[in-house]
Amino acid sequence: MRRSESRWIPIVVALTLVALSAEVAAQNEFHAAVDRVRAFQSEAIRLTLTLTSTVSLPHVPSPNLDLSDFDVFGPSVSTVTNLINGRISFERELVYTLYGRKVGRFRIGSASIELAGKTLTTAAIDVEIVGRSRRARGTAAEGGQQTMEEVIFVRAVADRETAYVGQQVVVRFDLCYRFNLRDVGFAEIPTFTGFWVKELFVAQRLAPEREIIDGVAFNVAPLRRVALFPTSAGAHTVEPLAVKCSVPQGRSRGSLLDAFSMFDEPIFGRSQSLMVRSEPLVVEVLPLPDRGRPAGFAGAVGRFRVSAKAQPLRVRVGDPVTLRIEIEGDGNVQSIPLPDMAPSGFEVYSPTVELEEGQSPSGGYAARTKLEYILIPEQRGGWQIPAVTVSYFDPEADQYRTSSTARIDILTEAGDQQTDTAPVYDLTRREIEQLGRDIRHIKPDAPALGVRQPLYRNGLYWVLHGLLPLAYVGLLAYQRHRRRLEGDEAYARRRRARGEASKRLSAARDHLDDGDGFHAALQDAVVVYIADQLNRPAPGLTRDTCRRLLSDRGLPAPLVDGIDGLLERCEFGRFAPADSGVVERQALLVEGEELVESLREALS
Amino acid sequence: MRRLLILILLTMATTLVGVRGQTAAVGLYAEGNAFYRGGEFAAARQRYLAAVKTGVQDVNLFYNLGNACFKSEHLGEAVLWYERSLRLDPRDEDVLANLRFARRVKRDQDPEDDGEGIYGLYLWPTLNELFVATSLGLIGLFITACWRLWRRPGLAARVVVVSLSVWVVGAGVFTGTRLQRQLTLTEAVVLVEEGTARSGPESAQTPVFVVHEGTKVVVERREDGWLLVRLANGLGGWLPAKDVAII
Repeated sequence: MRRSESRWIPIVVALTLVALSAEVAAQNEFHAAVDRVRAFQSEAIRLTLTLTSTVSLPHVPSPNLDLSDFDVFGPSVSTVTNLINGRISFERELVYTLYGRKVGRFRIGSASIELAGKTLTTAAIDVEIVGRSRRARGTAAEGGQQTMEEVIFVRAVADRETAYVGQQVVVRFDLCYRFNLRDVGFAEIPTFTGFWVKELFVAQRLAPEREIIDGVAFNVAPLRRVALFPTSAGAHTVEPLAVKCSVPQGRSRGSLLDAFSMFDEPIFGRSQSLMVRSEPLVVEVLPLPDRGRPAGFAGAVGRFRVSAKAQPLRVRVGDPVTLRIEIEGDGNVQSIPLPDMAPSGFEVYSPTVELEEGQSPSGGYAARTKLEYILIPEQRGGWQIPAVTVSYFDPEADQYRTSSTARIDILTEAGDQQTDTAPVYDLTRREIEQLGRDIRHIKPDAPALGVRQPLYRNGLYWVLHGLLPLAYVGLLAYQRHRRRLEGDEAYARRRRARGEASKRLSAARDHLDDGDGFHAALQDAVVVYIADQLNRPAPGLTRDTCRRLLSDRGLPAPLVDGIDGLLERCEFGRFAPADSGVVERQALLVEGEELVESLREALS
Repeated sequence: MRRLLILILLTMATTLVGVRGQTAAVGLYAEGNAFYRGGEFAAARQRYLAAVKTGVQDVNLFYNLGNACFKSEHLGEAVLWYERSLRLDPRDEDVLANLRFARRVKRDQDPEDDGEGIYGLYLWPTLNELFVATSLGLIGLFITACWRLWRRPGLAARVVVVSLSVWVVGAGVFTGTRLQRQLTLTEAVVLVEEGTARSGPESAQTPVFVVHEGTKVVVERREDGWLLVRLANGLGGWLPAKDVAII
């Protein structure tokens, strides 16, 4: 019995695993959907791939998906967790924005993804991209059924349809639109295969101007302007330039933006993404004629001019002569080879080459090459710098032309040093100017040599800087003191009290021999001091008042008694001056001085 | 009191030593010049070096020593002393000219961005000049502040205060960045004819690049007699400390 039971166990386990795996497979779903199956070329199609699972989806690989027929932006990824009837499900959405590259029927291939060892696949979706020629714009507008291509498009314009090899063709890309745009940016930049390219203008922001196109007012904003130089003969195509932008939604009918009333529909969000392309341009490129082609012609097409200037024209052997050559024109100046300068009688150093690029008055590409040669005369005599010649094809005149400089005469004289003794370096013009032939001479003798110490290591420097704020604080305190003396009488009297008391005590000392005057002066000194300290008028201050005021200020009783006693003796002395001698008065003066000092300490 | 006396005596002694060193340096400098004029560059170099050992830091002395080194075919030392002269006077035309010449003659060509453009303007004033400029601004602010204590400030005073404040802040920031550069940037010059920089501070380490006499490098670290140096092009490697001299 036990053996038969154990025989069933693997079967049960296997069945359970099969059931579980089936359950797991049933819990992962992957499907694709688009928001529209028919769209104009400029309209975005949103492709949403949704992966639903009952387990968390922390790492999901990118799906394999064939979108080769579309311009693809994104995907934007979002994750949602749902809890329904106690069951948790996890959803991951990948949203791609697609724009049809061509008109026609296309298939969005099935997307596949590997998850938990299993491949999940979505169904393929067929979509139709429709377009409408701008030639039909007027007709459609009359019919009231405008498309996006009729109210926003990129216009590509070439200044010529036929050109010679190497001839400049200026192509302009403009964005034409009839409503406000947001988030405008380049989506595709043409590679200009078959052309040598110079950018003339790239818009950093839209700067539109009003323009009537086929009877309809448009905002026309220049996007890009390029100068193209065809490199070979034949038909060359300027590929489209694509611009991506957003259109704000929620416009009311009856406005200028009636054309976009379709955006009022709830299916649209707050803005609609668009991508618009220019139409391809074909430039027919002709070969340069063989007839009349000069020997030195190297492919320059346009109009060019060459000039040369040398300085100085009279020079010593070994001293440099600077020869400046400028080649300028409204074509590809870089296609002109550098002149081979090897005038006899001179050693020629490698030139400095400077290219200045700009625009011609007609808005095309123009450039100037500046060459600077250094020529070192090797022997004395009269020498000539030969003419510099530039050959080019003038497409306007349909013939080859040549521009030449005049020959330049240089007179060389004997120099201070013979050239064979001069050091020979392989140097450029700048280096010759900088180096000369030797280092500069030493500095002369000096009566003293410096022992330099950086200021930041000098203690005195920092001490002086520390003194500045201290001095300011001192001045500030002094200023406040002065203002208080002027405005606060009690403060001023207190500050002056000691000085006044000293003066009066000195006066009392002067009256030691005069009993009446001494006692009056001493009494005056003490009373005025008390009046100043307490900010009271001195004339009305009697002995009793002094006692009361001092007691009220909480002065110690012995001090108050001492003051009172002194004032009493002064009063007595004033009325009976003969009763005290000089010795007694001197003792009284000392006592008075001590009491004033004690009073100052007690009141401070 | 005794301490004060000792301090005064020490100060006087130091001053006397300094004065004696100065006098000796002036004599050695003059001797070096005489040898140089006579074409005895090696002897001139010795005299100048002896003058430098007295502790004197003088632009002319360093410059003449650089010349003597150059003429006696010590190119690395010549660059070193020209660079040291520039630290004292970054606008000395003779020093700049001879340093340019020495840089041309040496084998490794450094990028010449020291004295040109915005960086050249940044290095144009000396550190002492920057400190003086900041101090003048501070003193001006102090005087204006004191003046305001007695006079009611008018529009002119406000303009002066704002201008001086801007000046002080600007000069202070400039001075601070230059001081920080001086304190943190250690530059050196290669003295040996050819030095091999290695991947680590040992002779057994892999050679990384070769530098030649006179090349200026930035020193980033020191370890056991080796220096981690970096070239202007960003290459870094370890060189023996004896092969280079700090500027």
